[in-house]
Amino acid sequence: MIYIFQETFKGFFKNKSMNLITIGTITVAIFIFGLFMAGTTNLLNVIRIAEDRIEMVVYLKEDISEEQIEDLQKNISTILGVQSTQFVSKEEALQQFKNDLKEDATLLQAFETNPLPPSIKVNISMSFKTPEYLKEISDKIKIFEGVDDIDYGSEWIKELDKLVKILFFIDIFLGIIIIFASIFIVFNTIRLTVYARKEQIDIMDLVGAKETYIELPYIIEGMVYGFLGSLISTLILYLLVETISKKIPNIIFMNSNAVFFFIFFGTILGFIGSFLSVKQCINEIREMKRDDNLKRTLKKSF
Amino acid sequence: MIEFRNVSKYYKNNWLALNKVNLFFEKGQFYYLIGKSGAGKSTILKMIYMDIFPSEGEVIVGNYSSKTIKQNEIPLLRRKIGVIFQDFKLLKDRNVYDNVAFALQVIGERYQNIRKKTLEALSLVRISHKRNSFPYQLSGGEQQKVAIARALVKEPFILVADEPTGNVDPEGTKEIMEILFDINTKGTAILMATHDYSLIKTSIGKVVGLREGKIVKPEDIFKLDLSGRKE
Repeated sequence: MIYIFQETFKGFFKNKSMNLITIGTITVAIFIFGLFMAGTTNLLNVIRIAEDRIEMVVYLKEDISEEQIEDLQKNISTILGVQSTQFVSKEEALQQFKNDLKEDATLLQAFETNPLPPSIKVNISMSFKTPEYLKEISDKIKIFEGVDDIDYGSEWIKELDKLVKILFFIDIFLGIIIIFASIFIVFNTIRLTVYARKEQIDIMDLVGAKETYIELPYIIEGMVYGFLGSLISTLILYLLVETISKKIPNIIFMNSNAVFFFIFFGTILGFIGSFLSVKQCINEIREMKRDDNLKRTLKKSF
Repeated sequence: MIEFRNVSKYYKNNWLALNKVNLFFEKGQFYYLIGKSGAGKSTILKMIYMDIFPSEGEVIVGNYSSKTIKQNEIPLLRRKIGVIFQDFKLLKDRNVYDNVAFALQVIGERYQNIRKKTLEALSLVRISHKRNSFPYQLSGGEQQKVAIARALVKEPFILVADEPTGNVDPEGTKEIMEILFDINTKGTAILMATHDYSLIKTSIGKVVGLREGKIVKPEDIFKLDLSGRKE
């Protein structure tokens, strides 16, 4: 065990500039990814606040009776996704309208009668605030007697939904690129390290070292690259968000779970890169050795 | 202890390196494997530490057979076999002590034992005084001694030597041979491939001749006069 860590340590410090480039590149790659993740997190936050305000208003026919209203409220309440309902009478609606208009309330004097219909406000559960569910709920309400019209801002909800989907798509796309790039970088660095020590591997094979002893130092080295790269990028990201949040409040950083995941993610990328590299390189080195020996033997005999 | 049963080996282009070879190496003996370059000496040695496998036939080394050995058993087999080469194969960035200790470190030997065993092996090949030197500071003979120490430190039952004196001057050769005999008297079998026939003339040990992948009488290889030689 001591040997494995000594070797990892040696490998790490033998080729400093190469290692720095590797860590640097992983840092940049993961930083870009983190930047988008942070951007998405913040936008989602804004969208959630907006979605929170989504409500459904059911406008009722003028001639509706109190009994009918009660029945309607009961019926609406039983629909899946409906949290609560609240009746708004013609008078209340007018009062609210007046409050909203403030100084311009005089405009309403042009009307002799109250032009506003009675309505029922329907509060929707958070997880049902998607265009599909809202439409479903509204379709169910529409068929009830006494309902005139339903408004739930269907258009802008669709737009919002589209935006979220695009953002997720970009995140996933970027994530995949970053994953491959990071693995590729670690793969190549480890490849150089392994090749630089091919004589050592040859001797290890000869004296009976087990695969784990041969491979583990390189695999750990790759994991250290991934770990350091993601740690540094998370740190930079944190400082950046801190700076921005002084100017724009409400900007949020990843939560501690996400930070943990991020660093874990980087380490795993390092592991995958070095694991693939070690497996491939060590086989190549063994093949090369056999070919070399064979060539030498053939040369001697003819 | 080591047995070759009807072993043949084809390399690429159907080149026949070994042709139905039957051999038996006994415990604690000293063997020479002689033959011209390309006769199949190295192939036989590599089959013993299972770096290559027969195309036909079977090689049995201790409890392992070339037919049934698993990939993860090969390291265990190699811990019981010491191997040295013409080109020494020392690590240039480590000193003599570390080169020998390396063989123990990578097989997971306990830390406390490594120092003791390494120093013992170095004194056995009479190179303890140079334990802090690096390979480039040593003569060919000295480098080969280090390689022998590295092979011996795992206490193998056999030492396989592929032209061990090929890159060593006559004086060094004499010393290397003395060390090999020394080791042999202590119970380790030696199998040495060579085409330096002068070595055989003057020393004890059994001789196996090899020509074009076939076992032949040693006398047939070069019209070598081995009469009066003790076996």
